[in-house]
Amino acid sequence: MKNAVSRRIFLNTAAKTAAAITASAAFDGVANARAFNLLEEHVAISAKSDRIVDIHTHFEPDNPKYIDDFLRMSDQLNVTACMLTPFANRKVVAEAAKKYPRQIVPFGYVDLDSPDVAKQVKELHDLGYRGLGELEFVKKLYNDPSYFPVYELANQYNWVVLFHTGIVLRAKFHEPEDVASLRMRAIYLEEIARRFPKTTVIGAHCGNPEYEWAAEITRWNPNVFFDLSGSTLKKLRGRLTDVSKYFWWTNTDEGTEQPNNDPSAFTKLVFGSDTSPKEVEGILTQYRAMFEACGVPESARKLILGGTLAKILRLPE
Amino acid sequence: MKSSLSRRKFVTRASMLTGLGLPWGKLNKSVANALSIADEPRASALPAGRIVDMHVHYRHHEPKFLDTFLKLSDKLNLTGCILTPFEHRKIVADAARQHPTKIIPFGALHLDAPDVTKQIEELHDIGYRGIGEISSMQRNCSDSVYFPVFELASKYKWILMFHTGIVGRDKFDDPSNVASGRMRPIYLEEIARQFPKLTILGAHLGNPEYEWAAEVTRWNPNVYFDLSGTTLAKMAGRLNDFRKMFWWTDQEWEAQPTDDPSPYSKIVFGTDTGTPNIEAVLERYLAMFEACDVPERTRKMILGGTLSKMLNLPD
Repeated sequence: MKNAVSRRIFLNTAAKTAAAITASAAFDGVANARAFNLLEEHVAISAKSDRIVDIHTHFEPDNPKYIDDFLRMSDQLNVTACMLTPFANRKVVAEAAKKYPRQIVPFGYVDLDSPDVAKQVKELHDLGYRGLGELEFVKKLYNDPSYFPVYELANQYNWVVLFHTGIVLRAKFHEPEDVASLRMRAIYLEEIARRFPKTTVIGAHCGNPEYEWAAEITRWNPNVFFDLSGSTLKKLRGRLTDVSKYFWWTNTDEGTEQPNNDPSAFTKLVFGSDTSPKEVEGILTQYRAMFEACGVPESARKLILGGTLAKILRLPE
Repeated sequence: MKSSLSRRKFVTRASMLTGLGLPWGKLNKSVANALSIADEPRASALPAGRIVDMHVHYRHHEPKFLDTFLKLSDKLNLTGCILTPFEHRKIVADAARQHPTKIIPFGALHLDAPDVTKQIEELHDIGYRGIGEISSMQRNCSDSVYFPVFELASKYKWILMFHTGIVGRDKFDDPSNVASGRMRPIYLEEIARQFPKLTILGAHLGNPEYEWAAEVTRWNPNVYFDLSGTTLAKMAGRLNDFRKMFWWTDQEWEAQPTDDPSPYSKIVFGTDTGTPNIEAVLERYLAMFEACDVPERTRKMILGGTLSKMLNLPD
């Protein structure tokens, strides 16, 4: 789910962020403080380095210059985006992806409860789409069997499917809406991953606030990953070392297959921004702060920021 | 849900203390000690203004319950939402008419009762203002089978107070069809979104699902939680942790229901205890305020301002 709040905050507070974060880090410990003190240096060094793959880029149909805005940022930061595209806008993004295959990977947003959803998925496949997402606002639990035909197709296509997980924003405050975060809990991704093992299942927001569930599910399921987009890294900014508590199994025998056989538990994370192009760099800063706070090894950082998704999506160099 | 464990402990310990013949003030302090709060962080001064306790169970087995409550109400400037079993509805309705600024009648109904909507209509007719504490239902509390109740309550613009989280066990030898899993705070979100005119209060901050409770209240302007039950006792040594749950700022809060930007403004006061122990619970709230630097204005809202406004209570 595109986080309107994150966007607003970033715009309002970009200049203040470093100071605020440093203050909260100081409150909570040396590791966090060190993380934030190193931020600026890191951003400067890494601004145009390895390819970054963003699993969580919403196409903005209301912005006629969206593709241009995105490509500008992509050139600047070396970002490839899985562009989450409403079915109605499928053609414009399919064409952009054909033109810029190194920068745009088309993903289709479909409504799982739509009566012709399977037909939509087939059409997206024919247009060259590589996955689905962000699936959300479902009327039933994610693992309800009525959604299995969609997952069957995704499995047949070896697709990547991005699900919203955890608390979801409320769009209407005065009218009734049939929306419930409880239908989108991280725990439901486990059943989908086990039933459809050729699908790569990615959970957005690391299950906020069910981080431990999300981490345990990804530990046992090689085809499940999570991103840390949304309010998660903001909420945890004063206690980023807590992420180590969730992703605890580094260098133990307790994990399952991990990307590149890397022993770091953090390799079960992928990069996702869930924000507009001009704010992606701010989210990268948040990820890097977490890397510093948790002592994430360089090899794992590269996998998280792009290596894992580049391999899964077989992206051209 | 009235905490049976607290009640059991309280009854045991308070009766021991009563047996010592201590005067009221000392008894109160002793009760605090008995409940092991003496070593907890010290509370700040009580902000001026009306206190509204969302969570006062009508104790029908205590013949002078209402008199005792009214005495405490005079002493503390306390208004109680009196959670009243249906069979005792009239005595509390009468008391509320007589003491409208001190007693607010709430009906403690069973969602699974076959005539529950009829009961609600009758409660409405005799001046009840909401339902609570809703507990021990046979399905998840957001199950659509309960929607007629929520529809009716929504029509009355009532406040619904739900138990959330772990629930006390009353029967240890007999089977009982009770499950805390049906009363998770996450279910309140669905009710709040489906029925936006309702005000939903969750008791106990979802114990132990505090983060879920906080996220649900962050996104839903019509959801609040109290900190009654064992929550403040459990957290006594780590009251700072409330900062982690109520972490957001006004800039990150689209669903801010009032002009108070503090996330703590989504908490209301509730005690869920016998009258003699209400002050001890108040102390626990004050200690949390100190530990988390809750702004003065927000403290007033938590202790009574928010509920006074919702219930249209006079100053």
